[in-house]
Amino acid sequence: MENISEEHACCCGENRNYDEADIPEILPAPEPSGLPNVALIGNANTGKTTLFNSLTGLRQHVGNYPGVTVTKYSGPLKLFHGEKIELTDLPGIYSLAATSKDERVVIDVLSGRMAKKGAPRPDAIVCVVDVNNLQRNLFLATQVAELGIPMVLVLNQIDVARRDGLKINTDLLRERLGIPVISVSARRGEGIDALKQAIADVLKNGNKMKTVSWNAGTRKAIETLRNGLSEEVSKRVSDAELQRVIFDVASLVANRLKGEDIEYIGELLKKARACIRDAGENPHSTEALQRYAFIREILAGVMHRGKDRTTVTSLVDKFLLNRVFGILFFLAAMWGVFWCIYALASFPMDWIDGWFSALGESIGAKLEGSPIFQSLVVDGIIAGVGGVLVFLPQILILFFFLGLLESTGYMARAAFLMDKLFGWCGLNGKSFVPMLSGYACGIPGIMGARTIEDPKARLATILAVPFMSCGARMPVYVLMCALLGRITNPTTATLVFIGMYFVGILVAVPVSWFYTKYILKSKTAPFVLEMPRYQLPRLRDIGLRVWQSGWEYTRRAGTIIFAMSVIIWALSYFPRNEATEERARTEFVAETAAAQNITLAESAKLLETAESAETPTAAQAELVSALSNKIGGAWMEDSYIGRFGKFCQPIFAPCGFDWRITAGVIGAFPARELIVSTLGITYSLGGDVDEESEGLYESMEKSTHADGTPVFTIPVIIGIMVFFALCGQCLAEIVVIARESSWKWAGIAWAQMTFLAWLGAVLCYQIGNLLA
Amino acid sequence: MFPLSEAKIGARVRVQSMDVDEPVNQRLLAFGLTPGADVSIVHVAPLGDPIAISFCSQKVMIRRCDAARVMVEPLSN
Repeated sequence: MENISEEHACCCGENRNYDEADIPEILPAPEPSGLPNVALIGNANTGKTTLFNSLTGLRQHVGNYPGVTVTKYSGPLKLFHGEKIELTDLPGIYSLAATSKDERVVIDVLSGRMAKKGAPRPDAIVCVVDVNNLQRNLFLATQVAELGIPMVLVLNQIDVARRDGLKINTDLLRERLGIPVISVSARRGEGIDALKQAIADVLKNGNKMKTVSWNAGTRKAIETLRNGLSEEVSKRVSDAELQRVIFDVASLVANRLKGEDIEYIGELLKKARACIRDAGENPHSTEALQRYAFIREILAGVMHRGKDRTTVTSLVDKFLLNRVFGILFFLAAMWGVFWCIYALASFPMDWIDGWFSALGESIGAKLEGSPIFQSLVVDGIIAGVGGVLVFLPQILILFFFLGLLESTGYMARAAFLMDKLFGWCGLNGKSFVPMLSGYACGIPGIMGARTIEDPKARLATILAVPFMSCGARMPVYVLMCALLGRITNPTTATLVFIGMYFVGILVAVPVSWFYTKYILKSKTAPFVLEMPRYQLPRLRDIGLRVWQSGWEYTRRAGTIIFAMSVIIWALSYFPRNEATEERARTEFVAETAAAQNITLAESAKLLETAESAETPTAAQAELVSALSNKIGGAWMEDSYIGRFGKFCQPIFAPCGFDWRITAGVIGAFPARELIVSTLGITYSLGGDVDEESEGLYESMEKSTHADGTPVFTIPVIIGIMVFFALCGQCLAEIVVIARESSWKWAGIAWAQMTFLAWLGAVLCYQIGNLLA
Repeated sequence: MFPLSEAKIGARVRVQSMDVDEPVNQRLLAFGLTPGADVSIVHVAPLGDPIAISFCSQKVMIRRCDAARVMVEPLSN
């Protein structure tokens, strides 16, 4: 599970708490029985994932690295001569500085600290670099070289280099680095065979890349740290890891030195860093300076650049980052994305809805004989599966656009344009797309927050997205605003309706600011982002990611959502007492008698004839359906959820809610829009009402408290809408938050949303009553 | 010497010293923004922050507050 406290610890550097449970063990030898393991490593935007996709295709497994929310991609690859290897695509990072989760996962995997948990130390590494920015890309390669694992260097995007007139002397580079160097264009499938051959060679020959020769000061620092450690601790820690501890003030690998006294380690590190200072260097920058000096040495005479020319990217950026055109283009693009998620997705969503209700009806008809089983299958299982799958269209569409925005390079520009607007409250420029899609549905929005690298900004975004007024709130707003229109005027109702769409974001931003400042205690999220070259999107890569996100949602969140919907079905079905039905029937007979001005006996007789009629008249049919609605309402009232609603009623009294509204609120826990049908059931109109049902409006208008005052006054109506604008009444959303962060944060999100929703409703009611 | 954030758009300057907070500092160093590197501001976001800087044939966006901690010197063309 995610461990946020650990993220704090990185700010405290040497004084961090060493988390006992979190120290992975080193397993140096790879599993003898398994396939050889090869890891792809490289900077983001190098085309590493495109290369991985073209090597493994659809045979990929998607999982999680144990203990962290970092996605793990791996898959089998057949080399020539039938040798098979297991290829892993490590997260794209720029350095091993272990200040982010991704970086820590990489160094943990490479040092064999995840071996026990299914991510063995690789037998060889394929380091993918963008040949068009060789110098920067080799920085990571030199860090990885320190781990002493055999390596192949892949110069990717050679097609772009060729176009720009960049020539590389690969033979010279190979000679200087001591490892195979392969030119590849993953996009065009160029050089793939040579790469497979090189992987086979390097697995056999074990070529290791030449490492930086550190200057005297740095060597002395490493030696000082090494000698200061007890033998037992020293044995467990590699030189590469010691370097990280010395160079990175905020290193997450500092806990590798467990077993030593924390204060002692602090002193020792100070001593080690002093060695670097004594040599006249700055311990913060010496690593980068020495590595870049080494890289320049390696690259001397290797690259021949053609004429410098204005690239397409800088021309396009002149337009897309322009104050006016840039913003206009951004808004137009976002409008397009939103329209697709909101409007386009509604077609497949309607099909799924229609298909599952038709399925429910036809299967339900066959199970007429046993009501419990029928209800379990139709209202529990089929409705549950439908409730999971109905979110898929929006998820797939959003991930398609996220893939498009990321692979073209536009996402980084969007973050650039929006950073100032979001940065101050702990979100970041990339929060925009998830939050926008939250207006269609929170679930894809929460999943879309994956594109945010900074873990705190990501969490802040996950917590903010559910406040956006999603499509499920719309039926509630429509119902309540129509009612409002009936008791005030249509203009007021329209204004309130529009206003509801701002309530969520007006609350989300301060909430996010509060979290960032007081709970996560992050300063403004760090923001150093590469602005990559523009590229044509590769549909194959996007398609693969879309498919994986959909499958992952169905498999991992879907199963839990389904299980919980069945539980909630049970809570609203049981206990189904005969007595409740009898009581409802008696009451119904009395009501009919009173309404038609006949005796009880006559009324009972009337009902009996209506029920037993072979071909009932319209009036008889109406009577029977009114009775069954009445019984439905009574069962609802008597169910565990109904009882819970009555139990909770005092809590909602300050909002002016009566037991029916409270039951509606509680019954809408699986999904917000359910309040409409729950109100229908509690008003004995049956569950098939929707926000256009005349009967529902009439019942609501007529509804009174025990003292005869109307329930649905203006403050109550607005209070209900504010409640639903802010509440966390969506089972699937809570589960997805848990999947994307942890159950702890899902619980916190739900609790805070419920509290804020309640508070909002109370304020509406109390202030509204004062004004009136 | 003056902070990078004060540099004119398009003017090439050379980094003299850096006093940026972690973890931003590590990131910049990894990208190759080290003392001695040549850099220029290429874009400013519509709201004035962040800025995009160009060095070692790449474009990187950073916030103004971080750029203000990178001291630079003008380069005569």
